[in-house]
Amino acid sequence: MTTAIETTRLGRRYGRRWALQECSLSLPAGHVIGLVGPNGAGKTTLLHLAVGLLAPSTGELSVLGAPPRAPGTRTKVAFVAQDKPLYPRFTVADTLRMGGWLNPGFDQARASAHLTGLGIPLHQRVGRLSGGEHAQVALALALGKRPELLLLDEPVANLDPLARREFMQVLMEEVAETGMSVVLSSHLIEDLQRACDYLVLMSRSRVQLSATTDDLLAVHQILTGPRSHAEAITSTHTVVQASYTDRQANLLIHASRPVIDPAFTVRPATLEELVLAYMSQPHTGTAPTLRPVGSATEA
Amino acid sequence: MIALTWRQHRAQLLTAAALLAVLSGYVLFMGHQMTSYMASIGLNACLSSHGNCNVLARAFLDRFGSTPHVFSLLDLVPLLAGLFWGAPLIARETERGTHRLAWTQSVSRRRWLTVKLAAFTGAAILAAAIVSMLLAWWLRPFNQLIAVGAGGNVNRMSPGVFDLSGTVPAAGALFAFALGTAAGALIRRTVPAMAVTLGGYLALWLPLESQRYHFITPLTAHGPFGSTLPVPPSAYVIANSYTTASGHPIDFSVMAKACQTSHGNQTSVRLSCLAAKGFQFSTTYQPDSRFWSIQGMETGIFVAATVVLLGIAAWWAARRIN
Repeated sequence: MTTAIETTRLGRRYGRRWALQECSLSLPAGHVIGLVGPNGAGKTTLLHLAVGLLAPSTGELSVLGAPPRAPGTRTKVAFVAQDKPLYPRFTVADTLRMGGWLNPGFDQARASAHLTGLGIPLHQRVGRLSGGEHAQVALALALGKRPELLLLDEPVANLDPLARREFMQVLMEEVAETGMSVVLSSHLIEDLQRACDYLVLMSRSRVQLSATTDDLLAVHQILTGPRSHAEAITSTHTVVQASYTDRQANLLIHASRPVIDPAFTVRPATLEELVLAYMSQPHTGTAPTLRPVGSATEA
Repeated sequence: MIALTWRQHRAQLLTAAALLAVLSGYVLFMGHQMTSYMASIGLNACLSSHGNCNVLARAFLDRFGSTPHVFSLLDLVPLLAGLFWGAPLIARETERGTHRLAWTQSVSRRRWLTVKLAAFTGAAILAAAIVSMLLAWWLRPFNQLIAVGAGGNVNRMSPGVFDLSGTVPAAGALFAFALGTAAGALIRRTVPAMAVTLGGYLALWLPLESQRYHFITPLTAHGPFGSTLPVPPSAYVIANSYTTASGHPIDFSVMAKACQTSHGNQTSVRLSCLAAKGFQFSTTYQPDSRFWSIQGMETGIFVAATVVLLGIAAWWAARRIN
């Protein structure tokens, strides 16, 4: 399996503050990868490093097997930055033309047809488009490049629910058609959980978790049962998050072994619960709990 | 990339072209007025027959002698390249975040910057060359009169005219552009970058303005009071001064007291008396023959500053902006 992005102890510092540190990741190609974490977690820094806007302070990274700034990489990777910057005085047609000027093999005709299909007039100035239309133009510009890897920084933030759905729909149709790899960041898991089949969780400038969503859901369980029995579980399982009332214990565990205590009810954790649990954990380094699981399922 | 540069900056470039067209129109119109007036009063005929044309020249200069000062109003025109081309070049991108769009396409950041810098550098040189050619053309009748000693004192050596003659306006425009670009890259906001460009430009331009006639030690001519000094009329006179017979500088008012006579409440100074007492008159000047030497030095200073500033801007844009 080829990798979309591979990093080794990657770090980026601004003065004395680390925006990203000790980031070792191997993101497989052919996935829609969600990059989730609170604001300031280092998501944007990681994406900027991956598209070559930033140079690393420490460590290494390769994108599609090559350095991000290599000419070959630039043509294969498309990026939609936060707030989807476009030139407001350009018309939509100018914007697509720009895609052609700056990228060999840019599919201008298809991008034009696609936007026309969405009812976006090509002669309109970008500055006068609605938020949803603006987002579609930014996406069309990125997709026109026919990228192997598309990176999007908070693509659906600031979009109303309808525009959000339309944006994700266009994106997922393109993924289904081309099989390209996608990395999209958000501070809200709800934005991503339907689209992503791979999750990278970041907080406080570090990667907390990195695995396919299937693996994550398979190995995490929520147990609810009497508090007096909790000790037996916490001593034999990895507890990601525990909350207690006077009598009851709520445990989110990494279930490497089955739980046999009948006093507990067991149900699978949702992605949202998982994300919240890992995010509220004190930092754990680079996802130590998930590593063995990932390799076990692939073996 | 060239297509994008044109699409993105055509408004700025066309505005400059329109301003140049207005200036050219004015210069051509006034030039036509001058030449037809010279023909109508017979000044042309007089000049070509090598006669004494002083009276006709006076008439011409009374009418048109102050017009070259239009150009001294334009001395700071090269600064516009810094304010409106340089300062927004990178700052407007970073203000809107569009550099993240432009710099993540297949075209590299280095090429993006190279093409833009080349386009504006070329435009600045072209525009400045047109201005200096217009000015040189405008000055031709004045140069003719000066050459035959028929009067007039405004030529390419004059302050205000020198700035827009020869290679200095192009070099000044490049410096302003480079300064604006560097300020925009470092500050990342257009309006503060424009302010810094204005201040920085004046910080170099004002000293040049006051010091350029001293880049090369000026010549001095002196002789007894009342004599005609061998100062060519095309030279720029920096200062006139007076000395005593023994060579000490003396202020005119002090010197005049020695030869004052009073008739009732009228005071007059007899010039023959000043000459007789041995007072000397001296003139410090730069001859027109040094025009290109001084131009070369000033151009060199601007170009050196341009190279340094563009280097800083390019380095900063490549390394420090994300």
